[in-house]
Amino acid sequence: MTNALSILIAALLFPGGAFALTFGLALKGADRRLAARLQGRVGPPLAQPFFDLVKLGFKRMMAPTEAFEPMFFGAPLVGAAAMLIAIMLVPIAGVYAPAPVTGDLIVLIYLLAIPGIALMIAGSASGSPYGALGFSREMAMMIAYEGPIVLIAIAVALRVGLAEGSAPTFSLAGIVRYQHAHGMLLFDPLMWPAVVAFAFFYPANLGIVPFDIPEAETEVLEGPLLEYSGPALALFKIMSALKAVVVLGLGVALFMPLPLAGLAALAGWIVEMLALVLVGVTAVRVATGRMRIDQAFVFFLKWPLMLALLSLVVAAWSTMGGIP
Amino acid sequence: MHLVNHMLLKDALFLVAGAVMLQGHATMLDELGGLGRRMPFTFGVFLLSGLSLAGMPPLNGFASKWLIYVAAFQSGHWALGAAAMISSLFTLAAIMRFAHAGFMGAPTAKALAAKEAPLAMLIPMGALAAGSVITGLFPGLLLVPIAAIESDLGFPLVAASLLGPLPGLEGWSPLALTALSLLFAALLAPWLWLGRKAGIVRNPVYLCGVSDIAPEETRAASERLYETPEAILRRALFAPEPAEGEKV
Amino acid sequence: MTVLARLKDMAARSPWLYRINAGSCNGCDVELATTALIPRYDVERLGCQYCGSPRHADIVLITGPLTKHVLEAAKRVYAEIPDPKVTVAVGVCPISGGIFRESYAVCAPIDQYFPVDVNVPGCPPRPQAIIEGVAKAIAVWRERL
Repeated sequence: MTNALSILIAALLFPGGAFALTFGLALKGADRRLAARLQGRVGPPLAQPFFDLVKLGFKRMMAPTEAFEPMFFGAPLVGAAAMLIAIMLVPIAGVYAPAPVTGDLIVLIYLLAIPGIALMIAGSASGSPYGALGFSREMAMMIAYEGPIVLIAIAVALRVGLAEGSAPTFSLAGIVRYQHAHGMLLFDPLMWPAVVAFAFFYPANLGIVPFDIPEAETEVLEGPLLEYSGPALALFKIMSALKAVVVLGLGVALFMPLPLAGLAALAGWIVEMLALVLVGVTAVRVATGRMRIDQAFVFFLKWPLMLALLSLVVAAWSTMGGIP
Repeated sequence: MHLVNHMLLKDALFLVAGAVMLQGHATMLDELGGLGRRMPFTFGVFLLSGLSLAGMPPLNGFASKWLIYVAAFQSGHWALGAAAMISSLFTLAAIMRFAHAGFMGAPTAKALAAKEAPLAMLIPMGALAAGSVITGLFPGLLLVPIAAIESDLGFPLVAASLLGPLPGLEGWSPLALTALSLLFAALLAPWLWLGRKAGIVRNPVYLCGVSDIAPEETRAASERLYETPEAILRRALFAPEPAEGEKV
Repeated sequence: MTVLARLKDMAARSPWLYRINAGSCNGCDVELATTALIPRYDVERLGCQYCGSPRHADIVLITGPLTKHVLEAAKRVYAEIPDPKVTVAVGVCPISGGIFRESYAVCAPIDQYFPVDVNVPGCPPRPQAIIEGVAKAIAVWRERL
């Protein structure tokens, strides 16, 4: 029973639920403020995403007459609920280890696909041609970036598992434990291609310029989210904030968990997440323009996929050859 | 276990296709569209079975796929495991395309005439869908008989109990995940419900103010939905491009 | 202050802008672009951001003298913006027709068709004037929440 209680606390308070939502929105606010400063502007206050959510609660809900309403309103609900579950699977080094009964790395990767599916269903359930365009672009982007993340995950699992002399381990707690004992995978030359591939993967997953093609405002008028207003749109914003925490937390857990404990570990984790946001999200967002969908697709098939594959192959063969 | 799940799911999908063909009087995907409003139960069964087949946690299709992946990696066939994981992505693409082109999106003339399938077709579909939900929540129902078969054949046993989680050191429990997701949905849904109570304003789809385009003209034909990845993969695999207007 | 009043104050710090170009010469639209993008006149510090969909909008900025050709389309798009909303007429064209007021194709002043809350005259109005208009619109919007 204490197990169930601890899972419930993990789900609702920390690190899931309230903490994840607050932190995700704070990350988004920090990104907007940093981007504004990088562009020489003043920028919105850090709590701006919270104000956005509250404001959306006051707006009228609208639906197109051609929409399929159960799916139209169900899509953001499913996406946000899936991300709330996914948060519970991400370990925070030294502070929180996910209970095995909730799932391992494979479950997490498949859960990460659900917001994309929710966005696609939203686009197609709106009955709008722009939604259909957003649907097709989101599917293309998902095919593009899901390949690399699968290979990255398997590469890390192989590296950790085979180095410990057993089968590939997909338990995130185990991966964090290995890095506490043997040093972060960020500094492991065998994993550098995977790190670079991940650095390309997460802007695409989070929908950041230059990869924000499905929700391009100037091209498909916000694509799948075009017909949403009010609380339903707020749920989508919640889903994307939670997804940011999950994906960035996954990156930290896979490659750079700090060997600290307690409050220092939590502070270090927050600093690492902010660093990931600054480097991969903000700096990229203010410096680049949007790619076309075929450019992005070809790019992902070429570089991140090949890099992840390289890391995978190298990890498997070298650890089998006895290099620890 | 994947055999049983696959049977439940694929058969449900076949029944859905049959119902759609019967009610829509059409055989090609392009002739239909927007069937979701007219055949909601069929659509529900399709989504449940299709997404489960594509591997969406915590449904039963994903549970059995997870077992296969773990087994592949534990026995050293990591390349096969990686290929399997990537291929489930393309299953997802196929299911989503059918869902969009057939059930959502703007309706065609044939689709406007369709009604929900007759009860004789709905009951078997519903039974199969219910079966997949039950095996999804309680994988032990399938795993315990499988363990019995394994002990007869002399293989090492799969550690599973009737109501418990999936086996393995990192085994997870679909029941726990489903309960959690229902909890989260219940926490988030009141916000939407409040919005509904305030009244939903329904107006036509946003087309930049234009009002004289018929719905058929705004449909994206199903074969055009994935034209970007298709064209790129074709070039990558050195396959010939189809001529203009030719269907593949 | 009640919880609701506090929430409304928070909500009033996030007004999203949407532009309707009702036949404008684009002079005012260029000025609207400068209030968003040029650092000196940055409007994001008020919490505003331009949105690509009318269904996300709170403050509607209408430019142009509402030509006959665009009247139906503008009315239709305006109806797709959810309540509560505030309408701002940017430039002198929506207010009186500006230099086009004697044309046969112009339906200005637009407050025959849309309930305008704030007028920002000028041809084109300076970015500072537009931002003051937006700030006034935010105050009106706060009352309507």
